[in-house]
Amino acid sequence: MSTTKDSHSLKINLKDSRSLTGILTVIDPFGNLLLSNTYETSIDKLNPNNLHSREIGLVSIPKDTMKSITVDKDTYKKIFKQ
Amino acid sequence: MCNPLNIEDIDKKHTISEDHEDDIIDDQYIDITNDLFNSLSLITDHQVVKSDYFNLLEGTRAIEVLNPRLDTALIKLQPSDLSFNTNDKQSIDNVISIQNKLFQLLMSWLNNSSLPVTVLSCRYIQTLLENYTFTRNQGSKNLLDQCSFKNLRFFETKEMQDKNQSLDDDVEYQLVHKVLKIFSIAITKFIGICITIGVNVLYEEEDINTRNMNLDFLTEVDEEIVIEQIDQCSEWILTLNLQDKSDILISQLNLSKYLLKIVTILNHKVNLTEPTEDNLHLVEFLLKAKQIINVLKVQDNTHQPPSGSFSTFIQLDLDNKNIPSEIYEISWEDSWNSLSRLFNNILSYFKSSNALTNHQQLQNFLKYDISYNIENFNVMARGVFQLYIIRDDKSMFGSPNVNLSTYVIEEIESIVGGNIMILKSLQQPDINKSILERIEPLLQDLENSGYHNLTIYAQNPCRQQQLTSKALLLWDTLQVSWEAFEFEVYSTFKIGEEISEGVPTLPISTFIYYTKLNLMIDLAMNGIALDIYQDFEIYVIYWFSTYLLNLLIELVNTRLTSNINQKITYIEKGFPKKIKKLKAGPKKEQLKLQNQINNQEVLPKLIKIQRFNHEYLLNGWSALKELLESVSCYLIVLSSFRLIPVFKDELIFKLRLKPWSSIGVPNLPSFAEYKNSLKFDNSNFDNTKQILTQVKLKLNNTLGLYKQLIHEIENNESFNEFWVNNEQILLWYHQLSSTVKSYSQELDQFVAILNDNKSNLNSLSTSYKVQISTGHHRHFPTIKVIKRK
Repeated sequence: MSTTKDSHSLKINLKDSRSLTGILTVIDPFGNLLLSNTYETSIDKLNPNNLHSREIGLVSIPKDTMKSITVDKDTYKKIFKQ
Repeated sequence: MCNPLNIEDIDKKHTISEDHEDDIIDDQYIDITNDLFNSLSLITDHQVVKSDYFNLLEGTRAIEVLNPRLDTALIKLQPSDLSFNTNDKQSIDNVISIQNKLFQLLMSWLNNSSLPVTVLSCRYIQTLLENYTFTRNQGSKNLLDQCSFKNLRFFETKEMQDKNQSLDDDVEYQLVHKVLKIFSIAITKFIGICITIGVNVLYEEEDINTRNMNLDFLTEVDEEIVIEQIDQCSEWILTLNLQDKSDILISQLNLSKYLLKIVTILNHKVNLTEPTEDNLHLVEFLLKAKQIINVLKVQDNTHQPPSGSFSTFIQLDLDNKNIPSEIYEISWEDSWNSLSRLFNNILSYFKSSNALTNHQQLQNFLKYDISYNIENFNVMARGVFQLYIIRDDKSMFGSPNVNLSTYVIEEIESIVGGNIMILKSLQQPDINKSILERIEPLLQDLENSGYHNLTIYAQNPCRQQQLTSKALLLWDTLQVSWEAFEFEVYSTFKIGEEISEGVPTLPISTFIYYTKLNLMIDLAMNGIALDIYQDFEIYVIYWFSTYLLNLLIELVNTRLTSNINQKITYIEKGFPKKIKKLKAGPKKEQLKLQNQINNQEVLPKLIKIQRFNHEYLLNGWSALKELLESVSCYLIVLSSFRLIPVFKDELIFKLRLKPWSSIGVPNLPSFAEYKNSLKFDNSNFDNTKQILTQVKLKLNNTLGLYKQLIHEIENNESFNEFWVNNEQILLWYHQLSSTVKSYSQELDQFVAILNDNKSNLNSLSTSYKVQISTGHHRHFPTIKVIKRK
């Protein structure tokens, strides 16, 4: 996962088994997020053995829909070790 | 939400515990769920933390996940939507119905919808485009291979694969992989053409929606190759024994082919100075397309496409930044009518443009056949027209003789007459350099403004209004610069025509003023058609339009007429005298030649302009002025009884006339003049009746003027040189004529109401009200006094 100059790319696993990868753009005090340039990865509806990915743009993710939030190692280092 | 913090700041402020090894969920990703949510405690005062580069307003269009109304991933599909395999064979009835449905959805898209809910809802189109994108990147060159219907994502057992391989000789399998495939390619390619035209000359969302789900609509494929494949496929169909159904298949294929051929009209060159004959064979396909539509329209459409072949599947499957939507489909009849209109519109302007021989015809064609008729145009016909009228090489209609520069000069000459001295001086070898240096950018500005006007005609009515408003600024600026220039050239170099001794005509400034006045009136009156005025604003618009119309009539009656008369007199008398005075020699011979040109070419054009102005334009304007004055007077009387509001506030006056307020010449009339125009005392019943009788007489007079004009348009053969087709012009004047009759009746009814309520006129508004509704003509609504319920 890449990190833009000032923004960080997050991968959010949703409770319905999809994962969303996008740039963290807004967070409110309740933990709801806005991700921009988001890609959704889910089980391919035409072939359950594969994953299918598509771009869905700017998304709002309510806190209660999230199962977990992850970042790649490089991003992690940039955020937490500086 | 309060002042947003910077999201990066929060990251820096937050100190995380050293040990995060438990958070690592795989080799690549580390779980930060707890860290992130714990960091929220650092947000104070309920602030929202956001990236510096993000505008919170943008957040309103974010799609909320797991919200069924917003999240396309939650779209509920039928099992058949998921199991539908585009690789499977289909019966001929299925193929026909799929192709019919694609025509229907294509026209639904062009009826202001989007691709994902129309054509892209077809699984064949989706599969084709996905495969095209994939195989093109793999370097495959064969179009039919690139656009396979075999869904590479579909899970296929070995048994299924073997079964499909054995189907190669199956007719139903070939109907899908030969016929439906090339048909789908043609439709997709046409959509690609539409998107290109839409992006270049139409307005996104309001004319066309080019949202393409990041799919490439065969942009690199040459339509000629597709047409060739269609013809081959049609030949193959004829080898099968499909009875009458082969006719339908071939008709569908041909219709898709004719859609692709539409853009070929952009290669056709129109002469513009004489009728371009024998050109109909070039657009024979447009006629054939109309015939095919008439056949397809009446076919039995009860057979539905196979279940799952059209669905909302693509919305949850491919790149999609929008919310879930139902498939949008206009009715069977509407879709064929819309398709027929597309071909008909193009055929109509192709034929008319090829008959054009002079500027008056061109102007009337653009105004009545295109601009005022634009709501009857299919959106792609409008788009193609923009490219048809002004070609890439700046030629008009591809004419070898007329480009944008010469068009503007011809337009000037069609208003103020030819032989304009300042323009003629450009051809003199000894022209003063300072004139040359200054006139070139001015001519360029003139050309740019002329181009701007040409882009107005085929736009949607709202855009026409916006572009007209912009044009006012352009032409007003032009008038300032040209007036100063023409006057200076006249005073310094004595170049330019004179109205009288020492008074210059300023022909180009006159033309600019003429154009500007017309635009100002258009802007005012077209607002009525767009219904942008409140009821209480209609009076001021009619009053202001009358003011502008008076100026226009005066301009044509005085300055333009005397200017052209002078030119005629000079050619008929002044120039021959000049020749007579010269001794025999080469100069005399040269002038004699010029005299011949003057008499054969310039003089007939000048006489034609005079005739056009006096026999057509001024008569039409005089009738319009009478009508405007009558309606204005009627409105004043209605407002005096408080039946219709008319504002008397200066602020509203200024606000309403703001679009014209920046214009230097003519000045806006003052508020005092407006207020004065409203003065009417209804206390004397007989006086009121007398005024209304006068309005009625004026309307009768107006009706007579329109009848006369219609008679001339219909019967005066010499009028034919002013237009190539009088259908729309006649419609325009017939509608105005009906408007006059309608106002006359409404006036009678109002007088009857006044008579019935003679004793109680002061409280007339408590029992009656005015109802304003769509009228016979776009510029004049019906204004009816009705009893309150």
